[in-house]
Order: sequence, then structure tokens, then C-alpha cells
Amino acid sequence: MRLTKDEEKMLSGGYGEATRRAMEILVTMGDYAGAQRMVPVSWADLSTFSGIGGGHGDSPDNDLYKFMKELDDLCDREGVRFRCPTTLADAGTPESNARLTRMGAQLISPAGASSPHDIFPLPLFGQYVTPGATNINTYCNSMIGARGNNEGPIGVRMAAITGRTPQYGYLLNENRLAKTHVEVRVAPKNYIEWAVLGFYISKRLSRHYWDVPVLTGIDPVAVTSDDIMSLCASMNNPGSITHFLIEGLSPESRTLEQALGGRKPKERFTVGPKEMEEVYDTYPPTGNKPEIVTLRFPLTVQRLYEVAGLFEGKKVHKDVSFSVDLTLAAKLVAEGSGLKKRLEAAGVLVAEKQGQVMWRGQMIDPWVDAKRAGVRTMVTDSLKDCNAISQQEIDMVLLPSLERIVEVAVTGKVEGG
Amino acid sequence: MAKIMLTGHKGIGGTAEGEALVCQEPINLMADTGNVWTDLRDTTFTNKVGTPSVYGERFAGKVLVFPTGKGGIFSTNIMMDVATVGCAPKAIVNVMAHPVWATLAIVLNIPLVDRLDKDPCTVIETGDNVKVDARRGIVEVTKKGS
Repeated sequence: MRLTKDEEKMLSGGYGEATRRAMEILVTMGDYAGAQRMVPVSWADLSTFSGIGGGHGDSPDNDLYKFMKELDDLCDREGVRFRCPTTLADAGTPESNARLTRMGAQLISPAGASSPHDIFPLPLFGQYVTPGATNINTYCNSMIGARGNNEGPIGVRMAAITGRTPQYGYLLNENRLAKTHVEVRVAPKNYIEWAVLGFYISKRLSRHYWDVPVLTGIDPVAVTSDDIMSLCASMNNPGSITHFLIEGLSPESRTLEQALGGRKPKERFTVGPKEMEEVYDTYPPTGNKPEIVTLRFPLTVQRLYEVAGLFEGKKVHKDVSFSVDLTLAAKLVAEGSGLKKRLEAAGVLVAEKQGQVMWRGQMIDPWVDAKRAGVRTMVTDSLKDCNAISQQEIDMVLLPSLERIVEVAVTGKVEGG
Repeated sequence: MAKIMLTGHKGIGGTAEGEALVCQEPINLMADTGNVWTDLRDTTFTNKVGTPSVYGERFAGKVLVFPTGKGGIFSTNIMMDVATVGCAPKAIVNVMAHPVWATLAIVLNIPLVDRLDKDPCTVIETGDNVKVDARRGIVEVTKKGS
């Protein structure tokens, strides 16, 4: 790699040991990936979504936490401040949040930031970024045209310390062109259906996610940013699509020809009703009674009002634990408008932090604790939940609308169960 | 003894040798290894839907061969923990490494190679002996039983 004088100074320890270690990791990554140079980072986001921190990396018991803490302690001693605009959601321990803000990170959400809804400000076209959460990275790449590789918490932290990241992968023009043409022949009706569409494509391309898909057949007039955020959340789970394009919507895909760079696609496939049904069939009702019912894709203000409306005159069934995650804006509206109190009076748990659900009187993070806590059946709007939790041998049921999920929460029964 | 060589480019880390565990599906430790939540030493693949080709197999101490990573960033946290109890894979061979796994390999000093001249998931079988030289980007495979 060709390094600038300043980058060489970082690598040789001229700015201290913490910066040297961070730059060494980035240079190793760049050399391996074939990067020619480092590029300046416009935004690093240290928020890893964690809920209550049982094992997602922000618990003091976790080795990633210890690795980061050792590095941050060194940064503290050497007076290092992050070298690019850096944000943080309240996903860690109070101690780690305090340390990171001392180093210059700005705390942007007290409730966590698991989706682009809660990122302020979002980056701009062409900027090099290192978002913390995968789906935010996907949104930045695909819908803004900012450029990020999804390296996870280690790469993000090193980028924040140095203000640099190696230019490889989706930071290069040629890798951002579409290689796969996906003809969409359904019109998703709500955010869950958008997630189902993304899940199918993600699974189909999981062995070669770098063959960027371009989606055609989507009406740019009818779609909302909330729909696309839901699509992004499932594009990288069960596969790992960090960058995709939509004809007529993505800045790098005004036309199909532009998306493909004038070349023919390596692969072409269609997603229609049959393919969507395949996804629902992966997580069907099993006959067990629903125990945890949850809306885990954070409620926007609009969906908050929808849920409140669906609970008019109704209560959560006594055998069901029903919880909802909120975006930061929805949280403020819920608290300011009295909707939170109304929902709580109906038996709905409004999670203080994203990622938590109530189970037998305790807050748990189901990604980590569901099996340990004895959960058997969970009904959700989240395919990420289904994919991550089902391997704990817990029956995961995906339902296609808010109405159906609220109905299950109220009746304590799921169709087919 | 029949040996097969796969060659690519400089990878991450040094050299390692061990028995191969070949997974045909991309791996997301968050979704595919459910027992680590209760016992960090239990690296059994538990996801019949996500990684059926290695269901019931453990990756600790193996040369883990798989197409790429998948899912979000949480494989980082799990592998960091698993490594502290000595249960990381000896080496990683990918078709194309996911950046999350590449950064893990750097920090944990696990030899990793990818972008080889042959598809490692096709050439290598579970139980084969595999030598990885990441500095030179070479993988030497001795077929089981040979």
C-alpha cells in the first residue's frame, strides 16, 4: 500500500502506541485485500446493537470488550481523540460510553441505533464511512451512495482512531456495479413484506454476495424510506449483501444500464409470490402457543400510531409477553403524546432500549438468552430474529402484518396453533 | 500420497496444519452455533437451515473451510470469546473472506487465505489434512485415507 506521510507517522508510532496498533491492523487488512491506499473516513459509528449486553461485545465479560477496553485505556493514557466524526448509540456499559465520548464520540441515541432511522446526520454520496450496524452500512451503500465495507466493530474502531480505512471492496467503483439482475414481480404491501423480499435475495446470493444485485420492477413512487430500511435489514441476513441497487432509486442506478455499467448480468432471477411464500414457509406456526410476541423492527412514528390504533379497547393476552422496539423519534412521540401510557395500560411493554423483550418478569435479549431462559415459541415481525434465534431450537413464527401480530398478542393464539 | 495444491495471494497470518471441516454454506456464528451461549467450548454447528452441511460438527481446532461469512457483525464477538478458551479454528480457508472474518483473523492471528485458483469447498473434504501457508497464499491438501 502507498501511505501518506501522516499515515506513515501513525504506523511508525509517531502519534503513540494506540494509533500505531490501529494503523497496523488497517494496513494488514489493506495489504491482504489488495488495497492501494488509505482513504479519509467521513463518519465512523461505534454503535453495535446489543440490547442488554449479555454477549454482543459490550459486556465486561466479553473478550471483544476486553480487547477494546485495553486499546481505549491506551488511547486515554495517550490522549488520543478520534480523527473523524464519530457517533455512538447507548448500546454499551455506562463506563464504555463515558470513555468513548471522552475520546470525541457523540452519543446520538439513548435507546440504541439498530437501523438508519436513528442515525443523525446520515452521510452523503461518495463519502467513505464505517457504520457500526450492518443494515446501516447497507443503507448507506445502496440508497445514499456513501461507501462502506462491513468490517464489524474492530474495523470501525481502528477507522475512528486513525480517521482512515483501506480502499478495497465497496470503496472501489468497479465493485459497486451490479452483477446480478433481480426482477421483482411482487409489490410488497408493508415493511415485513419488504424484509421477506430482501431475505429471499440475500439467501439466494449468500455464497457470492459480492455479485451486487440490481432490483428492477419496484415502483419508485410508492416506496418509502422505511420500506427500504426494512429491506436493508434482511439483505444482510441470512446472506451478507452489503451493497445492492434499485433501478430508479439508488443514486448509482438511475437506469438498469448504469447499474450494470453497460455489461450483461452474470445471473438473472425473478422474485414473485411463490418465492415470497417460500420465506414465510420457513418460519410457520407450529401449533405451540405463542409465549413472546414482539415487534422488533423499531416502530416509526407512523407505525406507533398504527399499533396504538390496533390496541383500542383491547389488551395483551395474560399468557403472552408483548413488546415493541421504538425508533428514537417514536420514543419521543410516545412519551410526549401519552401513547406510551396507553400502550402500557393495554399490557404492551415499550422497550427502553432496542433489542430487549420481557420474559417472566425479566428483560432478556432473545438473540442471546432465549434458550437459556426457557422460551419455546416467539412470534415476530423480524426475519433477523427468526434466523438468529431459530437455531436455539425455539419455534420462530413470522407473520406478514402488524394486524396479524397484534391479533396474536391479544388472543394468545396463532393461526394454525 | 496424493496432494493437491491450491494457490492464491498473500493472506493473513502465518502457517497452520490440521484436519479440515468443510462447510458448503456461508457461516454466521450468531445464527449457526447456538451452544456457545451456554458453553464457549461447545462450537457445534446447530442450525439445520443455515448450515446443514456441518450440522452437529464442531469447528474448534479444525481448518475451517467455507465459502464466506454472512449475517451481521456478531461473528466477531463470538469468535473472540471462543478464542479465549482455545477453541478457535486452526486456520480459515474461504472462497472470498468476509471483512468481519478478515479483521478477526488479524486480531486473533488465525491464518486465513481466500481467492484461490480452485474452489476450496469443492476440492477439500471434511477429514482431509490441510496445510495453510498464508504468507505465500498456498493451501496443501492431503486427501483422507491416502
